[in-house]
Amino acid sequence: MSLEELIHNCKKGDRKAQELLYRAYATTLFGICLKYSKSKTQAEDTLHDSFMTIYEKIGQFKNTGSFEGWMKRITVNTALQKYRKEEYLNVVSENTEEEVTVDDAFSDISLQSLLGFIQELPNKYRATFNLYVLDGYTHKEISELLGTSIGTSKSNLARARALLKEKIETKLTQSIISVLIIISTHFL
Amino acid sequence: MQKKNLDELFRDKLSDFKQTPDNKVWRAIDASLNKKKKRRVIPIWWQLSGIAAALALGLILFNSLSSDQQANEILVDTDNPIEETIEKQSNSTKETLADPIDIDNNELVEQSSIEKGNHNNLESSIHTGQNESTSGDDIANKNNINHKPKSQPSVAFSESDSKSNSNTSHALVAENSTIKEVNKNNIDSSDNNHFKNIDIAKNDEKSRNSIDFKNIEAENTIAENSETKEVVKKPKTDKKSIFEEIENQEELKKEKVASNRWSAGPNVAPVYFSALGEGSPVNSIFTPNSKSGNVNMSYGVSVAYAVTKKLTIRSGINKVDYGYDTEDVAFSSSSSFASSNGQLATIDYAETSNTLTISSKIVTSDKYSTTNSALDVTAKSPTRDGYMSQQFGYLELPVELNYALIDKKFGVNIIGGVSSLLLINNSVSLTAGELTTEIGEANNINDVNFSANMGLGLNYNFSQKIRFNVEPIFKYQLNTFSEINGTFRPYSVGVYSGLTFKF
Repeated sequence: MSLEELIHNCKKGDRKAQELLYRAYATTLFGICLKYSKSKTQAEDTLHDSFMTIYEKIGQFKNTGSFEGWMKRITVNTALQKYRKEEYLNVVSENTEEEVTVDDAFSDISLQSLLGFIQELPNKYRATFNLYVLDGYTHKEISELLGTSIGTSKSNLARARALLKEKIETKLTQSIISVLIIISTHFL
Repeated sequence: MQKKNLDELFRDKLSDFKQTPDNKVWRAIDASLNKKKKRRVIPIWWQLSGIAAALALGLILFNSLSSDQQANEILVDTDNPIEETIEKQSNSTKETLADPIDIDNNELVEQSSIEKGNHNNLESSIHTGQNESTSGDDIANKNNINHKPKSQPSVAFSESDSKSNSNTSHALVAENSTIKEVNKNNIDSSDNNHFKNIDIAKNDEKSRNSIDFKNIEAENTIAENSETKEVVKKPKTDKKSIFEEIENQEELKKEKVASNRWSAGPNVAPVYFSALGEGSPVNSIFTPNSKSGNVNMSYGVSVAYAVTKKLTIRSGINKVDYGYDTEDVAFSSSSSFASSNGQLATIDYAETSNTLTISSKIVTSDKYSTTNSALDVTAKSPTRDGYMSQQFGYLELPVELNYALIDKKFGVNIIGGVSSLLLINNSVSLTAGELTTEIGEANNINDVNFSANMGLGLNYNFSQKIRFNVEPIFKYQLNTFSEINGTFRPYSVGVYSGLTFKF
């Protein structure tokens, strides 16, 4: 089945096509969800909501432009909407349920660690950093998306970078220390 | 570490980051999709009741039309009546075709207005939020004004009123929660949801406790404010997102997308009526006579609802005439008001045809032959040979399932179902040479009967909205006659063609 057929069938509400669409794009979109969420659970929630929105609004997708891009935008927006709800509900919960596991101290900073650092960032910083650095949005676009000023967006990015840098440095120090400990225990 | 390096580090590793989610996410989505389908049940019934109303209207119209048409001619030249009947048929075709379409339109308008009504409600609630999103206070005020009719009774210290007040706010909260749920639809218990539920519960409690009238005002405004905030908050934050644009379009398109399952259109068909078996519904003496079916026209409108992609259920209303001729019939006019002897029991004779006696040329029955010979003696009205034709018109209400075998630009369907047939026209007439005379009505035709239908549907989609159908359908009549002489099992074969419009 071609992508066009798949989209066409999804527009008709065909369940098989919807599942196929999920199977084809869940991996990509879940990556985005993980980057924009503070935990895996939240990412799964976002992925769920994103797909529901995609199925609901697929009828409005004109076959112009990239379908994947369209889905990615919906996913990013769904993730961002979650922040707003949280803000409104004043749910201040830093990620506690899922610790970033540092499984290999010898390796370079692993992908999982980097993801962990991003997930640990407060919502605003995470959103700004992801949008600007990973997804190539401009400050103007970010300010529109997040409903802030361009200035705030810039300072958020700076703050995000500083926090990430700190985390990486801490991580590196930890790694070095652990290496030293291992070496010292080896010699002792 | 420099900015650039940091950005690059993350970009390299994470910009194309992918990870396969647990399968439970799909299961949750699947469950949510099921839920959504269930939620649609109510609007469907609204729409169905609209159709029922339209059908009832159509029935009334058809009845009044058919009663107008029943002008009886007795013993007239065949040339004229044929012309006239043709004229009439075409007239009635026009009329009946025009009328159902009108009804249809009305129904459409009604439906859309209902939908629009719903929509407007939603819109207005969003708009109040959106327009004033700059100042929350303004909105709080506005909403207070909106809520005033509700909150005023509570100011009047009436307990029951305050209860109802709390009920309304309860309902509002409930509504909010459903809205949220629509957004959320989560099966997984996630933290957020948990918090949200608590929040709703809080609101709920607030509004419930507000029976104490002293607190009513304060509490209600709290509840209201929080609701208002939420209403405000959402549009405010959504304002600049991609969803806003989508939502604008959605308002226009939602109707179409949601109701695309419905289709309707007119159809017309030549219908050939015939029967299996040898008997005659008129009288046993005609059993051996050869009978030939007539081709008549059926026309009407149908409404269809696509249950799934492949399965469509449809109904509608059709006017259909059936007729067949019994050959080799002899008839004459008796001099006296006919002894009931010479009359056929299954026919209610018209006043003007009371003197007719009818017999079969093939079967010589004593009962009839005596009359014949007697008439021959008078020689005033000699026996004429001809054929007897029986006509019955029905209003047909089919309920059919349509299963698509091929669903492309050109489609093939299997059709099966039943029809209720309401008798609206019933006549028996005799034709000899150029003369036709109406005898009367058959009294053994059931007012309501049923048919089992099966057929094949071929269709061609001109566009997303318009489709052309050709459907040869075989309809086996189940209980047309209350008493049948011999085995007369009528059926009809029609090739229904028409246009279908999706909306």
